[in-house]
Parts: sequence; structure tokens; C-alpha cells
Amino acid sequence: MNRDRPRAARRPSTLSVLLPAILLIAGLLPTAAAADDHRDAVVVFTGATLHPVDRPPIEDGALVVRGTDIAFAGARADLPTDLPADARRIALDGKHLYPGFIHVASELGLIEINSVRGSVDTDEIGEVRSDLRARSAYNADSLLISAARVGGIVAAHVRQSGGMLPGVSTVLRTAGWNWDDATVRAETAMQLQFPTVSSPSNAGDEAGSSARVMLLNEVFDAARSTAAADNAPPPRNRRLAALAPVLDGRLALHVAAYGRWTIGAALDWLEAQALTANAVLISTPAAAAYAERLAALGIPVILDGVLAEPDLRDLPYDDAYTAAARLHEAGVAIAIGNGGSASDARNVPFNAAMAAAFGLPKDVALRSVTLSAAEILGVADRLGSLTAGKEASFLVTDGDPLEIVTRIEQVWIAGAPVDFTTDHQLRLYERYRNRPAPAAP
Amino acid sequence: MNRPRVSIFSVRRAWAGALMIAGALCAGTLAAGSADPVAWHAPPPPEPAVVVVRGATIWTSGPDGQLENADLVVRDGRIVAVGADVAADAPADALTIDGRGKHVTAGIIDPHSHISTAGGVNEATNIVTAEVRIEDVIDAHDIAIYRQLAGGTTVAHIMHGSANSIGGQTAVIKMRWGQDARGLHFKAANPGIKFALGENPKQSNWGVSQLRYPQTRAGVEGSIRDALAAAEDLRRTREQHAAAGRDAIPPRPDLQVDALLEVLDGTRDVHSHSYRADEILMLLDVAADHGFVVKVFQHGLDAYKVADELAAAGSGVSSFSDWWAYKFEVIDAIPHNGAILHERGVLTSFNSDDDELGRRLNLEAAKAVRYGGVAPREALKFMTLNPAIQLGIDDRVGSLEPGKDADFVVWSGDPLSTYSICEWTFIDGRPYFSRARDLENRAAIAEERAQLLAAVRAASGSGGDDAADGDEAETSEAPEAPEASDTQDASYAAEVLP
Amino acid sequence: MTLRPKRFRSLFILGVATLLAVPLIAQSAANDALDLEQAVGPLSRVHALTNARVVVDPTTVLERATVVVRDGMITQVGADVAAPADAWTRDLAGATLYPGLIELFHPLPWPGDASEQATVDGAAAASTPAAPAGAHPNPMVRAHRDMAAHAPDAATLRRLRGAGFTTALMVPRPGLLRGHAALINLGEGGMAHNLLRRAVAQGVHLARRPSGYPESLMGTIALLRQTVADARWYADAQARYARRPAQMRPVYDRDLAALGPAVAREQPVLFETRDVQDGLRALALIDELKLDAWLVGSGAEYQRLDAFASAGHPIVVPVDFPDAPDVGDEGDALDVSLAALRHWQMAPSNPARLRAAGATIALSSHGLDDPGQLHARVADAIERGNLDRTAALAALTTVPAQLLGLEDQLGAIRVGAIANLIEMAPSGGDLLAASPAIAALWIDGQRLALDAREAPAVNPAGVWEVVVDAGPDQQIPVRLTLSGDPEGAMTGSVNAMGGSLPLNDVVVSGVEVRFAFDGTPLGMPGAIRFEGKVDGESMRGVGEAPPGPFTFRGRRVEGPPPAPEHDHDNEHLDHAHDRDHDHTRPHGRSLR
Repeated sequence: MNRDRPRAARRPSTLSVLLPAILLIAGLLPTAAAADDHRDAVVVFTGATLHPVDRPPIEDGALVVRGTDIAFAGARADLPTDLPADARRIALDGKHLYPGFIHVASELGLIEINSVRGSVDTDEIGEVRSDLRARSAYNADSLLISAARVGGIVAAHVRQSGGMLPGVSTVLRTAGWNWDDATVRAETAMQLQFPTVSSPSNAGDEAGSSARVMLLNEVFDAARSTAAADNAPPPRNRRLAALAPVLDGRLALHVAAYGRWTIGAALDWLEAQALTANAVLISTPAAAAYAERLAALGIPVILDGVLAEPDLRDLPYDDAYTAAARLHEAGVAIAIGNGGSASDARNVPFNAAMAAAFGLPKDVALRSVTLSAAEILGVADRLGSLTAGKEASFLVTDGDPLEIVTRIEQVWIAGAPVDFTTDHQLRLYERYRNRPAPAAP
Repeated sequence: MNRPRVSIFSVRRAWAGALMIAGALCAGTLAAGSADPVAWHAPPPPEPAVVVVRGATIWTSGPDGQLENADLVVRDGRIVAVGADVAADAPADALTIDGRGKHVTAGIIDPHSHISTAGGVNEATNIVTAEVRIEDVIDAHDIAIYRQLAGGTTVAHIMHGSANSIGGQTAVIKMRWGQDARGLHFKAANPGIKFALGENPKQSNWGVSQLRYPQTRAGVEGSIRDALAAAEDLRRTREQHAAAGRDAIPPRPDLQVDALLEVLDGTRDVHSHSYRADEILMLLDVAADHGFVVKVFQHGLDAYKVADELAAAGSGVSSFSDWWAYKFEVIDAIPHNGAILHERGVLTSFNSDDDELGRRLNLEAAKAVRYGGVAPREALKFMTLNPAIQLGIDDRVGSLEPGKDADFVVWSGDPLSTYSICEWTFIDGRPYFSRARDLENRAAIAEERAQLLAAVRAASGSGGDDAADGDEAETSEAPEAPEASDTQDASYAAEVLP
Repeated sequence: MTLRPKRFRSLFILGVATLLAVPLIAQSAANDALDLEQAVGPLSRVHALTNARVVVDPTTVLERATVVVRDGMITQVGADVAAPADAWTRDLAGATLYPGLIELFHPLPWPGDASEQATVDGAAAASTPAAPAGAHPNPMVRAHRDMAAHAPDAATLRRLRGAGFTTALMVPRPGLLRGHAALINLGEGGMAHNLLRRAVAQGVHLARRPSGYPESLMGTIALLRQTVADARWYADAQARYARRPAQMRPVYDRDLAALGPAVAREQPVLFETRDVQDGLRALALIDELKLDAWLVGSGAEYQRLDAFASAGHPIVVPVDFPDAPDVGDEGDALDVSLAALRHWQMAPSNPARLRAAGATIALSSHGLDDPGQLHARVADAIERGNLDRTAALAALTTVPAQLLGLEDQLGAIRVGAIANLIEMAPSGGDLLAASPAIAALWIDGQRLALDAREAPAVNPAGVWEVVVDAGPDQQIPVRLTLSGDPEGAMTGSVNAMGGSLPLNDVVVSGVEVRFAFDGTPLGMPGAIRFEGKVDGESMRGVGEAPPGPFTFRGRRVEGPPPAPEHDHDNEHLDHAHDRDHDHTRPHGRSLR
């Protein structure tokens, strides 16, 4: 660990450190109204250690952003020579550049305050809502998105969770004027919440023992029939039609199965339905109990939260913490989330860090919240690493961003710097840390 | 009748005996150490007379600050020396830990926890339930105790829930896994009581059809003032009775009022669940009117807004590090709460309020560094010395100083690093958790489990000739075998809505 | 600990006098002697049981001895005793006589007014009616109940007798402070003829209310603590008022008044516990509240043995050892906890361990689906748990007799004792066998032939359409499924009110089939029992449910079904994954 302990005392607040940098950036981007101007602008960052993730770290690196994308990421010595004369240059000596984090299973934008029903758009009524799309409920101005953004989350895989088939998920940036503007991949995956199986005796039986799984089978059978019938007569069935791209392999199927016995039943079901090729398992650390099988089936796992208790009383205390390492060792591709919570999305990297503390190689841990997440979500062409041609969504830090004590000093999303001063929490912090002492009574 | 009180020592001795029998019965080998998932079955930890950690980075949380390449010496459960080369004359048979490259901190103290409680953490039926006591319902078999030990937590403040404006009496435990409830009880702690303000006592999110008073924050204040006034009235009535002459009927005993009088007398500390600045100010006002000090505002997520008022009143805050937005009253919660409070002189701690979070509180301390730049050494105190002061146990625990209880943790690295893990947890100089031993024991547990499964299968599969199923009136609809404590707790009524 | 024997003896003598004065009324068709008496008129109440092997007490056996029973009392015991001239002589041909067994804890639902019941059971909490006159304001405190006011029903008597019990301590439930236990003989003739002593103990259990204070265990304990303080205050206040009437009289509270003997330590509390920590809590409360107590154990005392042994309270130890957990045929069965596996293995050793640690224990059928399972479990405790046979018998006879202060009257076959005997069948001499052959019980000198199970003469397997007739406009159709071997174990289920419930205790005896199920899911906490006679494809019989008796008739609509499969599709939501950080549920783990 590379942490300068006295540093903290020298730097009493985040904003007081960040403001100069932000003002600098703001100065470079003259007015808010001209925010779109960055589309063609070129910004050159030099001096930082680059952590591209898709290749080893590069000391004394350079990153060139052109418009929304990365034009160059490599050693300063290899900087292109044809940079425009008016390119902005930002010196980051001693700093570190990382790709931004991806909240790989997220309710960001769909929820504001859990206990205020009117602000919750995560759970629809009905078992089959395969026609719904999460992205049109994404409130881009959510306070929670702002906090996530400031915390280094640059994109979120936003999904609903009610019923069995709650619809199609979307990958969105955590910055944007609206959901359309923020969209990275509109149709990411059909979401399936697999019916809960509560004991091994249920799982040992064929998965069809539960009425809900029988319904699920009927739905998929019907969808196959519908998909097979050319020019099917009306009425159109929008929910079955929405399943067609899953059946023909164009759309991924994300199966959320959280309980130990549910996971087994979900895998049985995927095999029975011959849908493993396109499947991703969204699960808990209990999934590690199926590591060999998942590896053999080639099903990637979104490990939705590492900071969990063991799911059974007698398991080792660190069972959840070691799950990622066990999956990785078995050869399963993993991305790590935080259990979906939107207000807590900024703690995603620390879920990965706990997995690293308990055996997951550090580089794999970092990958699990960046590039692996992008790969599993099918957005690795745009996100996940500091690679030319991808979106310029990255973090400037003073150290390893999987360390809690590391500061995220700047966040850039699709080539634009994040304005920390508009964040609800940071504004309150600035306001109250400067509150004058009350007059003595 | 003269019944001997059960001492910890007699329990331990009985354990040794019981374990020998258990070992014989289970026909398995039981590794030493407390790494057993079943509390009553967990053997007591070794009791070395002397424990030495050599050459470690020691975060004392005391006046000595942080010591590099230092030793820690423990004798008979107490710390006797901390510093460079103080372990030179340690006896040869001391339990010695090579601390090179390791970090040592005081045991983590969780000032707000609900682990190890049986039969509900809320007596939600009445507005005031000052008479109920968490101490009565400590569940010493809760696996959360062991799991939190494995994260360096040695002390927890077990609190009543926040369903009522004045809730029950709290309890402080040491995580002595394997001992019974009495053995867990940390008697040195100040008596405490839970108060609660805001949405919970006013039933905002209960989904109940039958509403009761209070439904507003003003009503919460009113209900507290009513209860305190009633307590003062009964005290007056009792005083009057003392002068009422022979055979005057005394006032009926009232254990609820007794607890409230302790609050008014300053002998029972108020730990008030609270979020918003307005309600914090309100309770400061009530306390001032009745002449007591609110010891700790629990959560106090908006406390940063009234930090100076809290500092002036002498009240502490035990906050979440970074939780927010889960209900309306916490929409202004900010992760810099702890830093602002600390800077403005409020005694500040973080807490878990959660079984899982309670096993990585060292990393919660790190968030005070991340958000607001509290110095790491001071941030760690959010989980060590500061909660100790808040619970009135700082003369015993909370820092590594000679004379204090030897409650300490050996970490694989910097305790504020996400990559560090807890390797040893000592309480009273005894290694209640050792990661090495935990890893070793896993095989023994697995083997015992396999043997038990084989025995069950032999008994179940051998037909009617086995005593286990010799009764033909038994049907195959056997009830699920009890989980030593969990299932049997289910024999109390299920959780139900009020 | 003894129970103030002097006071008891006077009560007892009164009871015997009553017995002598009032002719017994024949109620049971099972009693051939009474049938004879009905036919021919009053007969002598003197019996000579000759040629018997007499287990006088757990350590004394007389071979080829005679026991003379006169007017309900044992008047002579010995090998050289001649049958009196006025005695009916019964040649036992070497069969064994044991002292009748004593059950020290048999809880019975209090048949109080329905509204009070509902309040405690939570069935009708929405409209809590006014409390009965003078009752404690909290319905969990019903200390005034007196079990002597309610004779047990015939089925309870029959089941207890079937296990060899001739005497039982009946304890009211539910509630926290539950009321006075009554010690009764299990003979015919009702409470008047069978009550040995009332108010033997006050029942206590740390129960929670489903709705209303106290809904938490800590609330329950607080209520107990407050109520004991109140009861002491109440006694003091009444005394002060008697001495100085010129002041406001204390409010009347029948339940606080009824707690007087318990809080004055003139009466023990019979403290029922449900798990080992519940037991430790009970010990702590007994100590703190300065009560005399008999503990009703959970069966897991071995886990904290020293605490229970050193506390010094007698312990009524259940033998409802857990069945082998369902672990399947292979695999690690991770859903079965290590705790459950260990408990399965160690529970049968609980009685022996307690005894070895120095505790005074009585064994109890409490917790068994049927007291008739007692012997199999005691055999378990002996074989798997290493309990000494002598100690096992003592724990069912002499130990409870001594605890009751009745060692001269109960628990042994000695001159002057109540004639409570177990008469074994000539073929089966050992009462401690897993399936002892008990021919008859003698209670107060009356012989009650046991309703023994006969060899099955019918096979009731199949599906039955049954109509339960519980009174006018109370015809309830149920569907009954029975399967298995009538000679061995049968299982089954009943479909009623839209749900399927498993049957317990399915027994076929001759042409009769008996079974029961738990009525709790139907809103009738307690066992619902059926006894039917099978005649070809039809069945009819009688039954008992918590609300009262009923009759039923049924018709078989399908033959024996194929072997049952697992069909219990539990759709519990697994919240292993705590997704929503719900910080606000008032009944979650915490309110934040």
C-alpha cells in the first residue's frame, strides 16, 4: 500500500483539494453552456501512472481524450506527435488513472428513497413483464446517481427486479441530460428472477416441481412457438415477442438466483432450456458452490455483493469473502457488484477489495468492477479499460481506488469532467463545514 | 434456599468435562480453540498467563499514538507493557506472536448492534418500554458473535430497537464466544437506555392500520416529556409515602419509572436513535429541562448540522459512516458527518447496526479518512477509544495501555486497508479468534459432520431395529431437527405486526 | 425439596375419605370389573394380587409375592402374605407389578372464556373484549386459574394411562403466569374422586403474545419481573389495609392475589423452558426473583450442564428426543446444521448427564406427540444415552413422589400407599422396554384394563371422503389419505379448509384406526384426534378437537395410493440476499 499518512492532515477536505482542479477544468471549459464543445476538444493528461486494466500499468503515462473517447492511452514517451496545438494539457504527476467503475447490477435511477413509494420504480406487478425496459424510468438527475458518480461509478447496468421476467436492462452512463443521452447499450439483457427454491430436497427434484417454474417453462415454450410462426395473426403478444431475441441468441439472458438451492435449480433450468450459451448468472457468494459447473457451462457470474454473511450457519466465516476467488480459480468470469443498492453504489470497489483480501488476485479484483463487468454486459467496446477507441470514462486518484482511504480527485465520463460542486452531499458538506459557530447563549 | 451462583470458572470446568464426553460420543476429534460454529460446543480458548506480540506496528489509540516495531505484553488478561523492546523478559512459555509486518489495534467496539438477541429487539407495543432489558435476552449462541470476532470486534453495545420514543435498556457484551449470556455480559459498562426520534417512533414506515400516538415529531417530544414528568411525579409520591406513617400503602412498584429515574439521576445513559437536526436539538432541549445529558445520539446522520450545539451539550454521536437515502429523514445524510463532528469537538464513533457490517468496522473507520480527511489514527479511534468512552468502559478497553483489558487485534497489515484481514482477536488476553486455527478446524468440523451424517443415515436406513426410530407411532413426518437456539426461538411466537 | 408434607397429608386424608364415602360411578366400558358390578350390584373393594413379581421400588423386587389392596390402599405386600378372606383374588401367574408412574408436567389448555383465550392466542386480537372481573389487566397473567376446577378429558386420561401413568400434575396454559397446577390420579370418577392436591405449583413460561404487550421476549421477562413485584406489593398492601382501613383500599386483582403463595415461596413455580438458553434465563429469573422452582427442561440441558446442576432446582426432563434429521441418502446435507446433528446424537444422553452432574431429575412425556411414546424414548435414554435403569424408573416414580412430598403415598408398592399399580402382561415383564406390555393399571385400587392395541384386522390405506359432524350446521368435509403398513408404521394427511396437514400417531388396532393432526393451522391450537371403526369401505367414529368432541363418518374413494413422494413445495422467499437495505421495518432485526 502506498499511502502517505500525514497527507490527510494536510488536506482536510475533499473539495478544498478538488476545487482547484475543478476550477481549472472549468476554466478550460469556459461556460456550462458550452459543455457540448468538448465533443471535438482534445485533452491530454500526462504524468500519471496509467492503469489500463487490459494491460499492465504504465508509469509516467499519458492519456489523450478526443471528444467523448480515448484517442491514446500509453506511455508519455509514446504520445502521438500530431496533437492539435490547442489541445488542453493537464499534468497529473504522482496521480493515478483508472477506468471508471461499472455498477454491474444496479437500481440507480430507478429509486431515490427506498421508503418513499413514489420514488421507487424497481418492482412492477406481474410475473411476466418481458416487454418493459428499465431505461425509460432512469431519472438522470437522481441525487443517488450524483453520489455514485462522485464515488467513481461511471456507468450502471440498470435492471428491474419484480416478478419472474421484469424486462430488459440497460447500461447507462451516470452522467447525461436524460436517459436517452446517458444510454450506452439500450438492450443489454432480458432479466429473469428465478423462482426461489428453499431447500435441497426441492432442488434435487426436477426444477419443474414449482408452479412458478412450470409457468416459466410455459412462457418460454409459448415464446418459441410465437417466434417460430411467421406472420402470426393478431393479436400480437408483446411480452412473448420480447423473448424472441433471447431465444435466437441476440439478447443475453441474465438469471438472478440468490439462494443456494435456487442457483442449482436455475442452472438445471438453463440446461433444460438449452439457454446456457447466452446466460449470465446474477447471484450471491453461494454461487461459488457451483463453481465447477459454472465453469463447465461457461456461464459468467455477476457476484452481486461480496460483503455478505455466509448463507448457511455452519459455513466458514469468510465463505462470502472467498467466493470470488473460488469462482475465479475454477475459471468462471466474474464481475462484482454491491447487492444492487443504489445509495451504496460507491462501495462497489470495496466489495471487490474484500474479495482480494481473501484470495482474489488484486488485478482480477480491479478487473471485476471495470473490464470484466463491461465484457459480461457486452459493452467492453465502449467501457471498462483505458484503451483507445473506448469512452473516456476514468478516474484520477491518489492511489489504488480499491482502497477506501484513496481519494478520487476527478471523474471524467465520456470525455467530460464531473462537476463535484453540484453533488448534494458535497454541497451540504461545504455548507456545514463552513457554518459559523453559533453565538453563545 | 442456597444456590451457588454459576461462575465463569465452573462453567469452563464443566465444559472441559462435557467436551470429553462429546468427543467420545461424536467419535471425532475436536480441535482446540473456539472455532466451532456451535457456541455451547466451542471449547474455551487457551488461557496463556503471558501473551507477547513482537515487532508490530501498534496503533495504541492512547497517548502513545502509533508505535513502529513495538511489542505488546499481556499478563493475566491485562496489558502490562506497550513499546519498543518491552517484551525482552517475557517467559519462554508465553504465547508469542511474531508481529513483524503486522499491525495491532485495540479490539473493535461496536457501539450500536443488535446481534445475539432472542425473541425480538423491539418491544414495539407501547410508546415507552423503559422496563424491558436487552440483558435478559442475550443469545449467546448467535453465530454473529463468532463472525464478528473474526473481524476484530471484541465489544458490542446491544440495543433495543427504535420503535418507541423510549425503548428498552441496553446491554454491553464482550464477544467471548462459547460462554453463556452471563459470561458475555460486560458489567463495567454504564447502564444505558434507547430513546428514538423521528420516523420510527412515529410509525412512518410501519404499514400498520392502527395508529397510535405519536404520529409527529412534536408528538415524540410530548411522549418523552410525559414519561419523564410521570417519573418525577412518582418519585414525589414515593417521598410523600415515606412520611405517611405506619401501614400507609406504598405506591405500587414501577420498574419502568425506576429506569427513567435513573436517566434523570444521570446513572443511566441515554442513547437516542435520531437523524434530523431538529429532533436532535429537541432532545437536547428536553434533557436540559430535566437536568441530564444525552450521552450519545445514535446514527445522528444530520448531527453535522448541529455539531456545535452537540459539543456544547457534551453529547457524543455514533453514526453510520456513509449510509443514506434509505428513507426520507436521511436524505441529507452525508459521509462527512463523522469528520465535521470530530473537527468540531464532538466525541464521535461509527457503528454497524448490522450483523455483517459489524465484522469489518475497521474499514468503516477508513471512511472517516476518505470523507473529510480525518487523520487515520483519529479515525481508528472512531471504532476503539471513542465508543469506549461513550459506553463508559474506557478505563477498561478502547486503547492499548498498561492496566487495560488485553482486548486487541492482530491485522495482516494496515487496519484501514481494504486488503488487510484480521488474524487474531484477543479478549481478556485470550485468543478467542485465530485465523490459523479457524482454517485448521474446518477439516475437523467437516469430518465430524461426515461422521454424524453417516450415523444419521445408519440410524434412518437400518429399519425398525434401531432405537432412533423404534417407535412405530412416529411417522415419517418428523419435525425438523432443532437448531440449538434458532429453532427453539421459533417456539416463541413468530414475528408479527403490532 | 419437599412440598410441605404435613399440609399435604391432611389434604390427602380428606381425599381418601371422600373416595371411601362415595360409591364409584362406572364410566368406562373398558373396565370389566365395573361391568360386573353394574350387573350384580356392589362388590368388595378388596383385592389380592397373588403370584406376582413385585417391583416395590426401583431397587427392590419381590418374587412370587402378594399385594393386598383394600379400599384404594395397599395394605399388605410380601411373599408370605395370604389373601384375605374378603378379597377378590387375582392370580397374576408371575406377571410383574410396578408402582404407577407419575407425570410431573402435563399442560392442558385452559378452558376459560373464549375471549380471554383469543386475546392470548391472538386469534381475535382486533377486538379485545373486557377482561374478566378482577383479572389482571394483562391476559398473559392468569395466575388465578386452578386446574383442579377442570377435569381432564377422557382422551387425555386414556393416553396418559396408556403410558403407565397413574398420577399427573396438570398445568394450565397458555400465558406467562399460567395458574395453579393440580395433582390428580388418572382414574375414573372425575375430579372429585381423583384430586390429590390442588395448587401444587404455579405455572410459568416465558411466552410472548402475538399481538399486544409483551410481543418480545424481553417484554415478557419485564412483565414477569413487574408482576412478581406487584404480587409482593399486593400482599403487603392488603395487610396494611387490614391494619389501617382508613385509607384508599388497594385495587382488587385476583391474579396478583393468586400469586401470593408463589412469591412467598410457599409454592414452587413450575417453570417451563423451551431451549437451553430459555432454561438459563429461567434460572437467572428464579434466582433474581427469589422463587422456589421446579424447572421443566428443554432436553438440551447437557449443553450447559453445570449451570443446571448447580442451580439445585429439580428438573422435569422431557424425553422428546429429536428424530433423525432428513439428510437424504448422500451428499453434505448442508441445510441440516451441525447443531441439529449434534443435538440428535446427544439429546438421549441428556437425562444421564444431568443425573451424573448431580441434578434431581424426573422424566416426563411432555413434548411427545403421544405419551405412549415415553417408553421408546426412555429406552433410548438408557441405550443410547447411558441412563441407569434404576434411575430411569426412579425418575418416573420415587423421585416425583419425593418432590411432591408424597413418597409414602405414591411411587412405590408399600403398605399405606395409594394403590396405584401397573400390572404387566404375563409375557412382558419389563416396563423399561421400548414397547412394554402393560395389561392394566390399578388406580386408587380400581383395575383399569388398558385399551391395548390389537393386531390390525383391517387395512385403512387409501383415500377417504370424510364428513366431520361437530354439531348443528357444522358438517365439515375433509379428505383423508392413509398409506403404509397397518402392522407397522402408517402415515397420512388430511385435506381440510384448503390445506393439507400431516397426520400424527396413525395406529390401527383391530378394526379401529386412530390418528391425530395439529389443528394450529386451522386456527385450533392443539391436537385434533379421530378414532374410527373401519367396516369395508366405510368408517365411522368419534373425535376430539380443542373446541370440543365430534363424530365423523367416511367412505373410501380410492385404494391405497402409491408410495408418497416429496411434495412439500415450500415457496419461502430466500432473503439470503439482503437486497434492499430495508432499514425501516419495525419488525426487522432492527429499526434504524
